[in-house]
Amino acid sequence: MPAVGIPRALLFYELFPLWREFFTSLGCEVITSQPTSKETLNAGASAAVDETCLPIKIMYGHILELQGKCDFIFLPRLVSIEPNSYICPKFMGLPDIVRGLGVQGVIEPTVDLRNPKEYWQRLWQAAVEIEYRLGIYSPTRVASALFRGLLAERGYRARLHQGYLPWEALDSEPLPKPSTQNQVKIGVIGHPYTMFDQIINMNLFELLRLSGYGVLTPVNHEIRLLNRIARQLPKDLFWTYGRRMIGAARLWYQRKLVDGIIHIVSFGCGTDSLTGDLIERLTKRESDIPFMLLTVDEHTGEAGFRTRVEAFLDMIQFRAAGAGRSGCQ
Amino acid sequence: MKVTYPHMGTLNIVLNALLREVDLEVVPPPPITKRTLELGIANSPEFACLPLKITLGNFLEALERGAELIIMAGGCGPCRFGYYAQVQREILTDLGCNFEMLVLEPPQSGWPDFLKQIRSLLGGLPVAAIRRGWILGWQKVKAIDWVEEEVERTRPVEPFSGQADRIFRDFLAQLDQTTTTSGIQRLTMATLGDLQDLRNGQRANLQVGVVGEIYTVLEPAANQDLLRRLGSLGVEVRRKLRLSHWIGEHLTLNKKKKRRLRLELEKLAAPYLKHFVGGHGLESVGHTIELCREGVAGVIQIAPLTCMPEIVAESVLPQVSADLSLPVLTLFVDEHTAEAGLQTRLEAFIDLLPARSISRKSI
Repeated sequence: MPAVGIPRALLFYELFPLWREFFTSLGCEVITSQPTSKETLNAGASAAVDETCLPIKIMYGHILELQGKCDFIFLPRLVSIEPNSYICPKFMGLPDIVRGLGVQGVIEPTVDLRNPKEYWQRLWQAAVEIEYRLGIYSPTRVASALFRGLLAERGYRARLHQGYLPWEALDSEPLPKPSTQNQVKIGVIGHPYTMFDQIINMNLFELLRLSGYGVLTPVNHEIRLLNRIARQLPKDLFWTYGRRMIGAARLWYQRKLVDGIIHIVSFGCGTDSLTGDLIERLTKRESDIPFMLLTVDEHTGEAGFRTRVEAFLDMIQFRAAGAGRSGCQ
Repeated sequence: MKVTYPHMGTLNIVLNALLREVDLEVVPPPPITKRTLELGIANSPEFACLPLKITLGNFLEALERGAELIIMAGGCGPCRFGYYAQVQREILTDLGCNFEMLVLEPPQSGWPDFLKQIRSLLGGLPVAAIRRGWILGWQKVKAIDWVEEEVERTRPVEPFSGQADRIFRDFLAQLDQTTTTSGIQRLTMATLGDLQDLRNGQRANLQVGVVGEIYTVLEPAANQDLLRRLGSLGVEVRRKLRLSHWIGEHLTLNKKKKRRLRLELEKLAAPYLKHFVGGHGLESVGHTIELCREGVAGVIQIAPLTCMPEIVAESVLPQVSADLSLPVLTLFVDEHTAEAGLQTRLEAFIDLLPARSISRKSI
């Protein structure tokens, strides 16, 4: 039974249920790296080129951790995971840029679902590529593994839509949902690999929940809905997560679902430099919801981060109180 | 309606030719200065790449001069360039500028759309005039590239520094005024003759390749005059990225040729980078290998800071460099890039290059 290592980085919190189900159905053992720690980050940052972004540096750290612990490491070349969009150029070259690490047994299928007409064909090709790499040559087994994987992803999405955060939804029987009635809600946007990584987000979600706020993220909404809203822009965005972020932000302020929006960006993120600016402009132009941009990199101190978040939350409370008073008069 | 466009190296000459031929009044943005950059930086997102900031500065200065319509290119990703126009439009709107913007999306996304855009710009489809302008513009592109290549050969061996550049400047000024194909040919031949006289059959004994993101390669204001600096250090610059490359890549109709070139490039880069990554990432890797085979002593990669495709290229270039024993220097530029620091790095890099013998005879 070959052991397949899946790094807990990049699209882990988006596609892990699919990958896990797929590989276990093929009879593999799935090993994941530990949640990101300072050591992961340090190891990654010293292996990666300086100019690259924080999530990629963390990815390096996770790969280094998995090295030697498993027979294969799963590093798909994710060109595109939904029609008419890309994720980020760095994903398109991921297996190539980590080749310098000298990792053995990399499974690197190319996933390019950009053309809606070839969607299933390309997905099938990627699955077959993995099967060949694993030494399995059985179309029926791959078909059933792919089907079960997609089903698992659907179940995961359904749990996310109920309002759970990814790490809660990864277990098939999640904890009881925290009640979010009459709570002040904060919407958090960012790339999934930025906002859900506990080193990058400095436990932001815990901080928000412990302070009594409800949290919404783009993953809690139907992707189709977010994309439909994002398409209202003069030109459709060609980055998958940029599209979802802009869709979520507009959904939230149009329907007044949140009382404040926090955007977490990792330093040097190319796509966020444009979409972040666009979201900020649109939010300010079309609503009066407070918006905060938090840029993080490997040097960000937790104290400074928390202070900014707390100041933002105080301001939201202040506004809520002020609005209530003026309403009484 | 007064039309303007962004600067990119010598692109303005080509666009002037094309736009004048279809009877549009052109208000070219003033040459890029420190003020352009400052205007751009002050109003752009902090981490946007340098070309966005500079072109935004161009637009602001052109609008000051009375331009009403901005022509900008689009794209379909994954490089940020494809979304520049959208972000710039929002920025200019928020600044309260009065303008219209025409984004020319590449014809790949559908000819009818492209033609509709052209029609909306010209109020009709004067096929003959567009054809004339197109031919004239293309002639000029080729002339510029041809002369520039010779300038890059001449710079390191010119008797007095600045001579080749003076000839090049005069050439560009005259080319901008030329309106006939035969005029372009005469001018090009004369200029090439002048440069060859100046060079007197000599060739620099050190050749360095330049690869990277096309805007920073072509625009002296973005790369701190990298090409001229290298020339004055006695180095002959070799590069594959030229204006004709960019135009050919985006607008050429010869699909067969395009595909053939693409396949060649992919084959070259395949051991290191197996997929295109947008922008000129794949080109940077492929051209490095190609230039190495042509005998350059080292390669300089230049790109704007946070450029995603070039970061991918940068990540794989150490492997290329080790395999080919070819020194590679990566330079990321942004608005903070200081002249002295760049000069020092270039000098250090060139001092360390082992002089490689050039097998090819001087032309």
